[in-house]
Parts: sequence; structure tokens; C-alpha cells
Amino acid sequence: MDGGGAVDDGTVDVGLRYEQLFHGHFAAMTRLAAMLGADDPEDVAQEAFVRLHRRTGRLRDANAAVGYLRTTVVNLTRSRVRHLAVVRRYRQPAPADVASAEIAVVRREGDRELVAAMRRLSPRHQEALVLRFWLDLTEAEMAESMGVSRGTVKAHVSRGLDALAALMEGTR
Amino acid sequence: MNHLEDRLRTELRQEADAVRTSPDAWQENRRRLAASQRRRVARVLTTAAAVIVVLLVGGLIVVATNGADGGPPASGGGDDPFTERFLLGPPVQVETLEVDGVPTVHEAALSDMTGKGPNLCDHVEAASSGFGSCTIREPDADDPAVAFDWLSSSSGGSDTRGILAGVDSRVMTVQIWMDNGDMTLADLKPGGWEDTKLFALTVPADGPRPQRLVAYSDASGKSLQSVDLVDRFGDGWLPRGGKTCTGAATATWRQPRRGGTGDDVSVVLWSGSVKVTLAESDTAGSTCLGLGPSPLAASTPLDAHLVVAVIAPEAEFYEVRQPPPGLQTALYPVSGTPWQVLVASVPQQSTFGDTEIVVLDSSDGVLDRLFLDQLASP
Repeated sequence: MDGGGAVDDGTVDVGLRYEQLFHGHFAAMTRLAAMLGADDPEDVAQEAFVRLHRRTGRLRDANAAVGYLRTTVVNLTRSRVRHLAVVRRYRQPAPADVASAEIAVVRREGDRELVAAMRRLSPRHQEALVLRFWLDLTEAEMAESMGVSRGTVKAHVSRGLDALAALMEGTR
Repeated sequence: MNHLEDRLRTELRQEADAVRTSPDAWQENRRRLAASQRRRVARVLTTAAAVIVVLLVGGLIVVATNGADGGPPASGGGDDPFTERFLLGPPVQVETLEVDGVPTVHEAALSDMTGKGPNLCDHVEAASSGFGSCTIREPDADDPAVAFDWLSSSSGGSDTRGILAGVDSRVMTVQIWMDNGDMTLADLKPGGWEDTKLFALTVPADGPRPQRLVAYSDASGKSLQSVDLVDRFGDGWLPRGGKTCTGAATATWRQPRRGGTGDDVSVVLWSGSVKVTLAESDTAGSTCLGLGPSPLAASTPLDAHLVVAVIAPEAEFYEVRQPPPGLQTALYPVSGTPWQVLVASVPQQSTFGDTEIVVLDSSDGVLDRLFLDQLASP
């Protein structure tokens, strides 16, 4: 490893450099986790990169690495949200959390009605809308990230938009 | 709807722009990588120690019960994971077993007794007593490459062998390949939590046993994960699971050499190993290879321009890419075993260069690849 940058031990594909990937995509992965509702998006992004590091020798190229990161962030966030639901189910309500800095920033700029309404949709619908309308992914890329078929992606986007429109209608 | 979409785009962009990252994120990542590597070393050592303990304790249990219980191993006691407050979904009847001649329900459920995540628990209600166990979720269950989030084996002494598993929401079909080449589809039951699905299969130990599990996401045949049960549970999982090419073979496959004049390639298969022979008069020699867990389970160059490989059942095609991509060639199973055999003509060994063999599933997804210059000489 040269200065902690390239990964790793001669097992990695040519051109795949971990440090470059980190600096190039860490912020985007943190944002993705935040947009999907993670309570600690930076932690999710860090964990995704650690997992990528374990698998770099088995990835085809940098594009595959970014796809892997995105899918891992989606899965980790889903798992975090799920875990929080379980914790809430079995524990007494705790005192209100002190919000992390980034979440606090988001809340201060909180006039985004559509995003607030989107948070009330199912996790799958939220994932579909974020990947489609924020990241502008293709259906194939979305299918890979969400681990579903392209047909299911279409259905999630369409139903998510319908549900969002209905929610907005209901607020008027 | 377009107005809604445009507005959503704008708001999502604003929301994302407001997210900040720590200036020391890279240093934090370095620290986590170092910690991860230390944990992996510790885990290997702990696993090795645990295997020794399990072997010792398992030996004692088998001696104590004389292998007569016919069900999964007993739990360690304490709270019952099937208590309602721990359950994440209703218990599922995964199969019906016959215990001491009595039809008996084998039940499984996802249970969270500690708030640290769901375990897959099962029990078999025998006539006089109940017994069961719990399996923790795979540490990498959220990794996209992992579809089997829970997987455990059970052994009723010398009488039965069984598997119990839970798969994630992407999985639509699971193939269970037996060591005699039969395939059965797992009877997936809703786990009642996050669209996971559960299944179990318990079989008599003296009949065909499960050897490989393959999870598929949809009808296109996209393979999500395969698990070699000999690799997972050890050579003793199957009667001929060792890597030594000894004992009674499970299958033999022969093929006239391509373009040759009667010379045969002979492939003799055991559950855990394979012997490859070029049956060519006096110069015949055999190579014994252990079968690995990957879809390309074993491979060897046979002479200057032939490669023999043993391929897992989830592969449908192979290509020899030199590049450019070569033609896809179908693979066919060998009777009596889940494995498939390919004999591919390749360039002269001295010019293997960038040539690779790739194996693909029916959705054209690459399952595994072998660069020929990595092959040792026979």
C-alpha cells in the first residue's frame, strides 16, 4: 500500500485505487445514506468502504466498485432503519436524541415539503425515488442497487410517485 | 406528474447539498480498516478454537445419546426464543419430520432476544420433549453478495442430516443440489419479517444429502449466491467429501478427445475431489484435485492445449475469451453428481496470455472466471 492509498497487496484489479475512490465518492455515499433516512449516514458510508476494501480483489473495475458501494449503502441503510424499528418496538421511549450536525442542518432548511412527505413512504419507495430523481440512475443501475428486477424498479417508482402525489393532495 | 418530478428533483438536490462530511473522514477510514483487519485475525483464531470445542462437545453428545434423537441439536437453555415478545414473525412450519415413527412438526421463527438482531431459531416438538437451537445472522448479511442470511446444519446422531436457512427478500427460488445429482426446490416460507423466507430440509443420513445451495432472484436465472455445504460444514458433511480421490467414486465421465483419434479424457468424481486422466497409452497420468466452493470448482491443463474444469450446477454456459468474447457453449450435468465437466480447447500453453474461461448463469451473469496463465502445468 503506497501511503495508504492503493489497495492492496497485489490482488486488486489494475486502476482500482482505494484512496482515490474514497476521496471521490465518500461524500456522495454519505449523502445517499442520509437521503435514504440513515440515522448516522457517515457511519454507513464508512462501513460501506470498509466492506469494499475487503472485496477489492474480486471487483472488475472502478465502475463495479461504485456500484458495489451504492448497493452496500442501500442495504446497510435499510438494515439500520429496520434495526431502529426493532429497538423502538422493545424499548421504552428515550429522551429526545441530540441531532447530529448534518441532520440539524437539514432540519433547519426544512421547507422541503415533498421530501418530508417522501419520508412517510415505504423504504422501498423512498429508495426508488431517491435513486431515480436524485442520482438519475438508469433502471438497470437501480435494479442492481436495490437487488430487485427492472420491472419491480418501475413499479416502485410509479407507485412511489402516486403515493407522494396523494400525500401532497391530502395536505392541501 | 412532471411538475411533481421536477419539484422532487429540486428538493432532493437541496436536501443532499445540506449534508456535510467530517474533514477527518479519511483518517477515520484508515482507523476502521486497521480495526477490521485485527478483528478478522481474531475471528479466525476464535473460529478455530470454537471448532475444536464443538468437536469435543459434539463427540460427548453423540456418545451420551447414542445418536438416537433424530432432530436438530439441543439449545443451551435459558429463555425460549419462541416466546411471543421475542418473535419478529409468527413461527413457520418448515417441514414435517418423522421422529420415532411419529409425524412431528419442525418449526422455525426469527427471534430477537437481545435487541442485537434477529436469530433464526427452530424446534421440533417430539412426543416427550422439545429441542431446538438458534443461529445468528451472517455478519455480512447486508452485503449484496450474500443472500443466505442464516444457514445452519443439524445432525440427529448418525440418523439424519439437515439444513435450516433463511434468505433475504431478493430471493425467489433456492435450488438444493443433492450429492447424487438430484435437485429439489426449497419450499420457501415467509419468515414474517422484512420479506425474508425460511426453509429446512432434513434427510436420512444413509440417502442422498444436500451438497450445494443456489439462490436466484427471479425467473431470469440471475444467481445471487451459491453455498458449497462441504466447504461450509466440513469434509464430514458428505460421505465422500474429502479431497483425496479415494474410496468409491460417485460418478465417471469420459469424452473422446476433440479432433483426436480415440484418446479419451476421463474424469472421476467424488463429492469433494476429482481425478482427471488423459487416457493416452503409456504416457497416461492422473491429476487429483480438491473441489472448491466457487462455481469453477477445479481446473487443470491436460496437455498443451486442453483445459479440464469441474463446474458447479448453477452455471449454464462457458466461454473461452481470448479476447474478444468467444461463443457460449452449454454445460451439461454428469449423471450421479451435481457437477458439470468441461473440456475446452485453448491456445498453446506457452501463449495462454490473456485467455480466460468464464462461466455464466442463464441470465448471462458471470459467475466465475479463470485466467489460463494462472493454471499450473499438469
